[in-house]
Amino acid sequence: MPFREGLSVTDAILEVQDLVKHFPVKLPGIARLLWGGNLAVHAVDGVSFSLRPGEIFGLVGESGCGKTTVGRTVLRLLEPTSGSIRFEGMDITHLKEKELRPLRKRMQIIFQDPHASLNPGMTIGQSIADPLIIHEAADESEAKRAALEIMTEVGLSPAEQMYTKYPGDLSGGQKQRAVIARAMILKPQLIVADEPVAMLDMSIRSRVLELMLDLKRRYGPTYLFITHDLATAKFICDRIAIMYLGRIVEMGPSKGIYADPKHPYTKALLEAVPVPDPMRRGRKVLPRGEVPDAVNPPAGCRFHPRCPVAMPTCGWEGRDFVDFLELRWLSPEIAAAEAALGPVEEWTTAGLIARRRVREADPGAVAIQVRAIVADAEFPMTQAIEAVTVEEEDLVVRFRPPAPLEPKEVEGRLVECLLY
Amino acid sequence: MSESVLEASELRVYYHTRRGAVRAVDGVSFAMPEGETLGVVGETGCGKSTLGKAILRILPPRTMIQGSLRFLGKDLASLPPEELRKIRGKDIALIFQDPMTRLDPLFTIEDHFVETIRAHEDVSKAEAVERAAKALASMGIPESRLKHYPHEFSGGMRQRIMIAMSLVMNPKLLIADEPTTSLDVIVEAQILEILEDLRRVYKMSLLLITHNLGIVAEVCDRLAVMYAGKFVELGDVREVFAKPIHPYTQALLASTIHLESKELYSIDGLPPDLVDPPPACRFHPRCTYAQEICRTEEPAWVEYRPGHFAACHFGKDFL
Repeated sequence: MPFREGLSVTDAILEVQDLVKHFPVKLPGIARLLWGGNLAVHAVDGVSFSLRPGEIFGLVGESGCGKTTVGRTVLRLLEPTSGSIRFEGMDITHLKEKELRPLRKRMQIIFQDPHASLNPGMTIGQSIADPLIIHEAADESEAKRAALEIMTEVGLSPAEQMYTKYPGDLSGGQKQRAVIARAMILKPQLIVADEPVAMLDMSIRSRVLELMLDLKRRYGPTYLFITHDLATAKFICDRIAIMYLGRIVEMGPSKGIYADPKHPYTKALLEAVPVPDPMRRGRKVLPRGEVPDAVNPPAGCRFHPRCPVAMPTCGWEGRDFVDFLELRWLSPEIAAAEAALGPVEEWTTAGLIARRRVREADPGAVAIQVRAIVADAEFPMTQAIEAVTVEEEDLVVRFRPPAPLEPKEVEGRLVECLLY
Repeated sequence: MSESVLEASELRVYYHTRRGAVRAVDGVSFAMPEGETLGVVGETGCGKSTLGKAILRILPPRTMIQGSLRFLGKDLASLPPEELRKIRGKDIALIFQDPMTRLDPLFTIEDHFVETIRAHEDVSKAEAVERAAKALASMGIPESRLKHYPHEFSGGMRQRIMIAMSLVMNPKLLIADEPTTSLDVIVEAQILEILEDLRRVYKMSLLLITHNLGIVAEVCDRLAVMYAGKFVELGDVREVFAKPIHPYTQALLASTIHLESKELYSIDGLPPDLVDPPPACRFHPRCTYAQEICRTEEPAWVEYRPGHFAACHFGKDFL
């Protein structure tokens, strides 16, 4: 980590460097002893980006990729594990809550669920005016006047009448407008919008997005727009970062990424989006399986076990070999022929190594069988295997270490993939 | 066209509430031929899920159901409860949006399968387990995972298990209510391909209830658009997408944000309260083309093109 104090101050609104956020997994006593006690969900694992003033920056990814955690950590609603966060040039990574207070006026958040974001005991008007009062930016009558004004702007009209209504009287779309009004009333520099339209029906989604664009034109806030919906991100973001399992895999101007995605994961995501045109049906090339557990993310490129164009150097490990056997044995004939190697429960893995105790059979013969399977299978993983050996009574499959992976500049964007 | 698997005529489902009757389904008629995938599309609260539940009669007590529902010629309303139970889960299967809440956390996957199979067929436990293993393998889940509990699976795997469980009885009709809504886009695409393959292999009919027009475009043969308890349009999926007749269908298609959207479009106003829906055409308060007649007279269900129906007074103008 370079010492950033000495560097020139950039004009970025928000600058995030190597942000890491791990959530420790709480285990009961015995399990803690067994596992060494330091299991953690690697929600965000080294993420860097910066927001230019007035832009809409999209963080896009599937559930569990860490996008929401990034959004909350940059606002210091969660404590970062390591890395740095600079807001308007000021390092806020370690500021105390009291020191953060005055900054909070300038950074606001919009949550996904409008039904849970408004206090049911406060009227809509009170909720919207509340930030002004909390931050002592206005007295009560001024706050009310400002609230009525912004309510008209977001389309909660007639404002006088809406002011006294309770959240229960409003529809989902209206509630989200109120939430946006509450975030906007302080005229913040930065708004983190976490899936602001995901809970809304199609027919009203557009109106809420339109409103956000409209407010941006008028007040010029910078948006960090968090979404799983690639179509929405394409429509409203200037730049996007695609996240997978706690890492940014591709980042750059939206136009370029949508026109010509570089990372295999970005390609897969775009391919999977349903096209509302029945004339263009066709089979899709989809990645295998699902997003793996973030407690133990895959080595090398985290997407490699599912990647359709993975190479031998992408980060194959012992557990990939066991997964490979399991998948292979879905066919009963193959499972029967290779019964001496099974079942998968007999295999243990540690990093680059997969091992199985062989007592009942001749270890040498079993090793030959594994080598034959490996030589036969057309799968990039098998080429990453360094050796299949017999150590004492164990059959051991050992992998070569992965090639080092770093984000690279490719056609005006950053891509973290060994293809480039 | 072959015989209808399912035939609904003037189906009405009114929920009983303190505020009055909620007319969730209010006069819906359609027929599903064998092997067809029919998509029912609409927004939250339009009655599409109620329609699915009405077919299986899994509605709260005191819910009023009117009209007729015939499954392979049998009137479901007149069947005694035991007969209905034989059909439910066997001939008509259902998969829900959130598979986690539909699997019992205290039972293994094997228990679930054995219970389902043995509820309908007199087979030994070993045979039931064998069938379960086969069904799971067809979904890409190894047999060794039969002994696992629901929480040990990912969301996509759980949905695969639900599908495997509903298909193990070889149903004639599968009702899928937002089967992929809680899943991520890649897993969603995987599940849709599975449904598509299975339908082809087992020749079953699929009633797919969803709010997502993209999904309908990818897997359905026909499409029904539902608004405020009524079908407003029904037809071949390609035709409805290319030449929508009802203004609501047009607006819904225009408001869908997809990768090629050029502009944002939204429908003014809110969906109506189904306790007291607007008179005549229920869409008229939000319709840009609404005239006096739309406020006073209910539009007829007209076949504007062969097999393409819509309920709009001005349907001809949109041909």
